[in-house]
Parts: sequence; structure tokens; C-alpha cells
Amino acid sequence: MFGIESLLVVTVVMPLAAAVLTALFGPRLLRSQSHWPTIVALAISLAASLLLVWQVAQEAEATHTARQNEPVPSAQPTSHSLGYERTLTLWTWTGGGEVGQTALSVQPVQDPLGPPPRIEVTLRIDPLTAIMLATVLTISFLVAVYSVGYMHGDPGYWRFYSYIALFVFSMCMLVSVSNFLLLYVFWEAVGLCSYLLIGFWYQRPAAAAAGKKAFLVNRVGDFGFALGVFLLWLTYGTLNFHDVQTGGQTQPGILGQTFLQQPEQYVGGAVGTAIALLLMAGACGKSAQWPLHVWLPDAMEGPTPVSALIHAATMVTAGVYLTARCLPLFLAAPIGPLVVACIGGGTALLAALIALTQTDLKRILAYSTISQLGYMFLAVGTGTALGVTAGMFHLFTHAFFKALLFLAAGSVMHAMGGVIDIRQFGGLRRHLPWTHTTMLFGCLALAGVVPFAGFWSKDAILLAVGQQEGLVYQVLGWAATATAFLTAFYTFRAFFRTFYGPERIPEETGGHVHEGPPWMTAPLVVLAAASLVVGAYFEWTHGFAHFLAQTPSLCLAGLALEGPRAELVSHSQVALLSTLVVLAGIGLAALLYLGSRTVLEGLTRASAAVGLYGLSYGKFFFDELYQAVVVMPLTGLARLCGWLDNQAIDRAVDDVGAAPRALGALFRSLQVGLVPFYALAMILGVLVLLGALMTG
Amino acid sequence: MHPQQVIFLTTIILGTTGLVLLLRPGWGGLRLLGAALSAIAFGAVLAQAPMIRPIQEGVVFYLLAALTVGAALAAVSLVHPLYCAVCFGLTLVGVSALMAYGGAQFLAAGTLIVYVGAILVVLLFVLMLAHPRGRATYDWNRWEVFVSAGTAVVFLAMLSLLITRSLAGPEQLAAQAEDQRQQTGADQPATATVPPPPEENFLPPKAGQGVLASEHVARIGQHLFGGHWLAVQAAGVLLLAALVGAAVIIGRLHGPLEGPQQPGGHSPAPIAAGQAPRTESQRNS
Amino acid sequence: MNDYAFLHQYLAVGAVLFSIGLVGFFTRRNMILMFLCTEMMLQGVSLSLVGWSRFYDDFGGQMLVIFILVVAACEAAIGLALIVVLYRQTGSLDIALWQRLREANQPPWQEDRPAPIPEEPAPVWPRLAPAGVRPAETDETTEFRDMV
Repeated sequence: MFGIESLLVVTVVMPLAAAVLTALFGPRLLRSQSHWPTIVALAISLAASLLLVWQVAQEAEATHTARQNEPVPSAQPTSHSLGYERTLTLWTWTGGGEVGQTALSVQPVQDPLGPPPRIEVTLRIDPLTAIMLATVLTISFLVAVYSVGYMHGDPGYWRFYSYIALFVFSMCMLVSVSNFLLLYVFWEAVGLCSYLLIGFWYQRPAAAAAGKKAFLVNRVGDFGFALGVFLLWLTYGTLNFHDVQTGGQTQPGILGQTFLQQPEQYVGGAVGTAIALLLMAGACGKSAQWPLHVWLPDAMEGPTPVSALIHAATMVTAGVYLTARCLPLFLAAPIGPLVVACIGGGTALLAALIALTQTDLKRILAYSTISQLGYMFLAVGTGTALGVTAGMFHLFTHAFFKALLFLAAGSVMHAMGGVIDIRQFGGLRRHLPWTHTTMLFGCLALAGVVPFAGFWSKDAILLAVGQQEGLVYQVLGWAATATAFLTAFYTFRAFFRTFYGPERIPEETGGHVHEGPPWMTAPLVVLAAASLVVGAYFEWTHGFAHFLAQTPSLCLAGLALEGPRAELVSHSQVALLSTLVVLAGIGLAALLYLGSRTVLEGLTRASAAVGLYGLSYGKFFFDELYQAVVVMPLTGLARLCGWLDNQAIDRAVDDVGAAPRALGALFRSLQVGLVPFYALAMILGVLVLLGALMTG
Repeated sequence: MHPQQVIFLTTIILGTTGLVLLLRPGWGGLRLLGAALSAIAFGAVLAQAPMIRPIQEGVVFYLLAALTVGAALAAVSLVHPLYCAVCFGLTLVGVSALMAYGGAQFLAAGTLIVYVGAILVVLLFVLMLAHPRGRATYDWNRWEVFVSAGTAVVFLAMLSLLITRSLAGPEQLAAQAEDQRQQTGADQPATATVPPPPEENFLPPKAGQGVLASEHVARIGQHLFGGHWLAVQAAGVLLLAALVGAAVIIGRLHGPLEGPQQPGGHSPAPIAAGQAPRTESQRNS
Repeated sequence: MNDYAFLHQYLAVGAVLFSIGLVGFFTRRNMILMFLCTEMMLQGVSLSLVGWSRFYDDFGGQMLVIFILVVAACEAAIGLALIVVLYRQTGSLDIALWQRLREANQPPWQEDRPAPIPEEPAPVWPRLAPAGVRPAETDETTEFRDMV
């Protein structure tokens, strides 16, 4: 029907067109109808991406079947390519001309670093990209529809949709470019959109500060990412993912077939470790992993749809995507996967602990996002086929139920007149039946109760971690299990306090508590259904793992995704354990928040007595720590520089300027305005000249 | 002390004192004394010049110079502006006589005609226009007399020192040569005894244009309309421009002519700072 | 020898004239007299130029003096016109009334000691010695004196 390449281009370009259109015509022409370009474009893109997934699955299956059927000649094991990928070069951004032109009589001046990099704007499509595109566009479309109700009447309505469309474009490009440089460009572009949308209500100082904080913390990670890209360029001499056929020869790309078939060619040792760690720094910044997790909770100052789209479902998964995409590079480094797993597991536990005591509904969800992202990193960090698949699977399911949770929280916020503190409301289930039901679905999915999406993916992660050898992974496995318990507890803590208990309605609502318009409830219902279905469907059909296994980066030799599946026994053991743990968490939450308050108060008092409560409530004081360690010295340095600038440099300049003024003040009293006086002064000058003439 | 330094200091001290006494409002006798002192000082300046020989010519020169300087002093120091103008006329007469004596007859006549005949008359005309009564306090009160007199006298002393120094060398050499020639007589060859002057061209390089010739005015005309014709044309244009400018400056002021506000012509109070004199429009309204 | 003496003396007289004009320009407050003093300085310069002309037997100096005359004439025309304009604005020839070019915060010069013009003795008119007799006045004379 459609070529895969044209589908890809349509998928990517439509949001850009919507962004430009909305930006151009929004403020004057479209005004309150500014959502139409974005919604239409996202619908088209979504359809195209779903079509793309289907076609890619077809072709990948065909390739796979053909490959398995043909006899593999033992003499040339590298004759066929690994996985399935298609690339589409749009144009050459920079770099030398065609290869045929190098045979000039005049030799160009040789750069000691080699020829200038040839950067081509190349899109790629493989199963990983296809999955990411479908996820991003599904969530984006639903959030865009939801925002019609949520953002209605906002003075920056057109601006909001323009930003959203621009973000979707950047995110689609991020997952579909085939080049580290372009990846970096769109990495920054999504950061920019995130900044713009966090600070969307820029009149509020908190929002502006949160946007700034997100941008600056991301800079730290991006700096590492940029260094990683430089190091890649120095090490491999190219930035392409794929092999480039120039003339008769092949220029191997970093994640191209040449390297993948001979993974021992990857540079290991110190350089490889450095590359892995630097890329991980970038991933940490974008995905809000420890120690760069501090920006994400503050990012909740943005509009709730933005939180749902960018800071829960899509952009923050870019780090996971990067790690999965560059898995061969991590595997080449001695401790690469271990570092990723440790950071992920540690962050998961840390964020879950913090989320226990937070009172802001959106912040609880933000910390749960950090925690779930930690799960994904933990899974990818196992470096096994099962782990990567589980991580990507969790990314996929998490996008649905976390977007659902945020949108439901937004619905609560909408009904409560902007109040989001769970201490100020309660017992809302009668007022917000749709929100209540859908949020229950989301909570169950997040906690990981049996039929819901979160159960399957979390289970896969626990299984993948449990299968790893070594003490570290054992500890991480127990930490993940503990995190599952904590997740169930804090999720239902928030849920119970919001929808059950005595009915409390804050004054900001003005007594007018109502469900949102259909624009808002429809996406909630769709997402709730998806949260219920997607996990089970893909788990039972094994379609996800099978599809994802066709990604070239994950087809690394020695990383057989198609290997023997885990034994059913261990699988059921893990599932049983996690279900028990989750049920215990939910039960504890029900006991504490639905039962008598004496137990809760006693527990709170006891934990506060040993300082645990304050530690969790204060978010482990990371903000204060960074304030003291990073911000204060820098501020001091800036003050010092400012003082020097004011007192030394400026003063010197001022004094230089004041010297003629002071000198002039000496003679200013001579300006008496009397003509004979001026003549006298002139003659005195002549006298001096005469004296000089006679003595000289 | 070197006699030159003595004369220098004398000129400065005497001249300053004399001018101060002369210019300050006060008793008439003191002013007379000041005139005498300053005359002595200026005479000292003149006396540094070597005598002109033959002596009678020098007498003529000194008489004319005394007339000029005396008249100039009177023109500067007298209170009544009208007397000043008359004395200035006398100075002009002396100057033109000196010019004629110095071989510039045409200039002497021109100075008399232009200055005395035109400029001085206009000056007097304006004076009488502005000074119906003739005297005002600002004529009586002078500016900073000490500083002015000191500056002027020091200036004069330095000028005279400059002149004397720059002319002393060749002049003294020439005098020595002449003395030796007179002593040795004409019979002996001058080259045998007289050392050659250190500089051959210390004598004035004569252009030989015959300033003292009998057809003096004709030669002036030749030069004026020969080498300097362009300057003459420019001077003519300048005169025309000055004529037009003066007409414009005066003619811009329409409206009734105003005399002094006070019939006595005494100076009104000085304009206070910031208070602009009345503009034309204000006056016309 | 005579040439040097001549030059020296002319230069000396010129310098003296210039200095006297200078001191006059400094001290006089009457604008016309200030103008007069500048003319006197010009005369001093002219005299020096005549001396140099004689010394070098060159007409260049005299040419210069001619042009000085021209410039002096122009100057007289313009300067006197300006003086008339200034006089019309203040009704006085006092240069002290024109000090508006001074610095903004500079106090204006004030006459600290406005010494009055010394009183001159009243003019003594000659008086005729009384002689003869007073003619007798008739009534007719007395009556019509006012009408004559």
C-alpha cells in the first residue's frame, strides 16, 4: 500500500507541519480552535505509525523466516544481516561530496583528524523505532485530545498546541534518526520543548524556576552525552548507526551490521567504559535517574497533560531508548551494564521511598515515574535478551498507565479547582465516578496486579534480574521486589486518600465539583482499557519480544533474544512472590487509610521519631545537598566575580572616565564667560610658548 | 648681572608698577607718576636698540616713537572714551609717520586714510551714538589691573629679549667689523687683518626690490597686481562680504530704534545669571 | 649696521604698541575701546612688518600690511555692527554684561567696588561784571512780556 519510507516521513513530518501552522495562525486565526492542526496531524501520524508497525512486523517476519530457512554456510557466517532495518537518507547535512570526487588531481589539505565528518540526515526504521513511534504517538494523540478539555480557555492555548506538536516532532525524530549527532540535536530539542512546557505558565515564579531547573539539570547530563558523542567520533571515526555503502566499500556504522556481527571489534577497556558512562550520564539526565532525578518532581509545575505526555510517558523514556539502542556499546564496556543496573535499581528504591510521604498527588506520580524508569534501567542493565525485552516492554506498558494516572490526576485537579494536595480533599468517588474508575485501573496497573499491564512487564523485569548471576544482581532483585511493595503501597495511599474516606472538598472549587468534559474522559477510558489489555495481550502472544528481537542492535552475537525462555517454574515463582508483595502493599494501604487512623498516626510518629519520615518527606534532601554542594559555591564564585567586576574593573573604568572630569573640574572655575579673561589666558599661553622658544 | 637682565627686570618692575598706577582709578598725580614710570620702562625697551647713525636720523625716529607710544598710553589709560579715540588717532598719525620714515610711504598714506579717515570716524560715531553723556562707570573701573599689566609687561619684556637676542649676534659682528675697518684704515687690505665673519650671510639678504626707490608706489602697484593679484581679489570679496554682513547684522533689527534706557547712559545693573537679555520678538511685541 | 638698528627699533616700537594694546584690551570694559585696542595691536604688527620690509628690501611685508588694512576695515565694519547690536540689547557698552558663556554653576562676575565717577566741580561759567543801570520797566513791558 504505502512504502515504509514514505510512511516514516509522513509520521515524522506531520507534527512539524502542525507546529508551524499553529505557531503561524494560532494567535490570530485559530485562537480557541488551535487544537485542530495538532489533533489532525497526530491522528494521521498515529495511523501511519500503526501501519508502520504492521508493515515492519510483516517484513521482519518475512526476513526472519527466509533467514531461518536458508542453510547457513558455515564458512561465511556473516553473509546475511542481523535483524531488520531500513534507512532513508533525506539529504546530506554536511561533509564531503561523493566518493567519486575524491580522485581529484589536487589533493585536498589533509586534516590531521581525518576528513570532515559527513553527516547525513538519515531516518531509520527497525522494530525498536517502530515501537517507540507507536507508543509516543498513541500517548500524544490521547493527551492532545484530553488537553482540549483541560486547557480550554487558557490564554496560551495556541502556544500550548504549538509546543506539543513541536515536542512530538522532536521525539519522533529522536527515535528515528540514524546518527548520533542528529540524535543529540533532537535530544536537545525535546529538552527545549520540555523547558517551554514546564514553564508554560511562566507568570508563576515556581513554574519559571522549575523550567530553569529542568533545563540546567538536563544540561549536566547532556554535557556528558555530548562528550560521549565526541569520544565516539574519535574512537570510531563515524557517528552513523548504520553501515554506509559508498562506492564499492562499506563504511561501518557504530551500530551497523559490520560491528554487530563481530562484537569483539567494539572498543572496550577504559575508552569503552568512558563511552558507556558518558552515554549513561545523558540517559540519567533525560530519564531523571539518580543523581540527576531532582528536576522531574519540580517539572510538575507544568500543565498536567504535559506531565502526562512528556514527564511520564515519552520524553523521560528517551534515556531508556538510548541505553537499549546503544546496548552493544554498554556490553563492550566491562562494567557498563552493571552501572546501568545499579543506578536503575537504586533509583527505583529511592524514588519509591520518597513517594511514600509526599502529599502532592502529581509529585507522588512523578516519583513513581522515576521509580518505574529505574525499573527499566535495571532491566536493560542486566544486558540479557530477557532484560532488554522486559525493559522495553515495561516502557511500553508504563506509558499507558502512567499517562492514564496523570490524566486522571489532572481530572481531579480540574475538578478541585487547581488543588492537588491530597490532604485537602477526600472521598471524591461519588463526584468523579469516571475518574475514580479509570484511576483505579491505572493504580492497579502501576502496582502490578495480575491482569493489568504493569504486572506482566514488572514480572518480566523481576524475572530477568533474578536470572542474573552474582551478588549485585541478587541484591538488586530484592530491592526491586521491595520497590514493588512500596509502589503498591504509595499508589493506593494516594488513591484511597483521594477517593475514599470522609468527603472533603477544598474551598477553591466553589462547591462546584464536576467531572470533566467528554474531551477529557474519553482518553481516560481509552487509556484505562489499554492498561488492562496491552500487557496481557503481548505477554500471551509473545509478540512483543519476538518483534523487538528483530532490532539489529539487540541482535548482537551472543545476545540471543530467541534463546530458551525462562522456565515456567521460576516464572511462576516470581509472579507469585510479586503478587503477594503487591497485595501486601495494597492491604497495608487499605488498613492504614481506610481503617482507623490510630495505627497510621502511631506509625507516622514512630517513623518520625527515628527520622525516617522526615528523610522521606524531605526527598532525602537531595535538593538541599545540591544547593550546598553545587549551587552555593557557584553562587559564591559568581558573587566574587560580580564583586570583582563591580569593584575592580568597573571602578577602574569609572575612574578613568572620572579623571578627565576631575581635571576639568580644576579648570571649570576658569570659565567665567568674560572675553578679556579668555584673551588673558591666551596670552599667558603665548608667554609659555615664548619662554619655551627662548630657553629651548 | 648682565645688563640685559637688568634691563629686563627693570622693564618688568617699572612697567608693571607704572601701568598699574596709570590704570587704577585714583588720584591724578599718581596716575601721572604711573605714566612716567611706564614711559621709562618702554623707553628702556627702545633703548636696547643700537643707535641709528647718523644721529639726527635717530632723533627723528625717537621723537616719532615717543609720540606714538605716549599717545598709545594715553589712549589706553584715559577715562573718557572720546579722548581715548582722539589719542588713538594721534597714535595712528605717529605710526604712519614711522611707516613713512621706514620706507613705506604708500602704507603711511593708506593707514591714515583707512584708519583715521574711516575706522576712527566710525568708531567715534558709534561712541557718540552710545554715549550721549560721554562717561560711564565701566570706563572708570578697569578689569584686573595687576594681572593684566603684569602679563602685558612680561610679554613685552620677553618680546624685546627675543628681538635683542636674535639680532645681537650678527649685529655685534657687523659692528666689530666696521670698527676694525675704521681703525685699520683703507690703505691696508682688510683681508689681511680682519678675520672673516663666521657666517657669510649674516647681512640681510637683500631682495633688491627697491623699497626705498623713488618709484615706490609704482613698484607697490606692480607687486600688488602682479604677484598678489589673487589675494587682492580675495580681499575685495572679503570687503564685500563684510559690507553685506554688517548690513545684515544691523538690518535684521527691525522695529523702533532704542537708545539707552537711562538718559544718563549709566550702566544698568549687570544681567543676573540665567536671565537672558530680551529677545527680538519680546521687544517687538 | 644701520639696517640692524633700524629693524631693531621698529620691532621694539611694534612690540611696545602691541603690549599697550594688549593691556588696554585686558583692562578696558568699554567694547568700543576694546576694539580700539585690538586695532592698536594690529598697528604694532604692521610697524614690525614695515621694518622687516625695509630690512630685506622686499615688498612682501608691505603687501601684508595692505592686507592687514583690508582685514582691519572688514573687522571694523562687522565688529562695530555687532557692538551696535549688543548695545541695543542692553543699552550699555559694558562687556561685563555679557558673561553668559560661563559654566553653569559659575557665579557671575559682580562689580565688587562700583566706584562712582569722582564728582567734578560744577562748571564755573564766566560772569559778566555788573555794569550800567537796570532799565526801567514800564507797565506795558510787564504786561506783555509773556506774549513776546
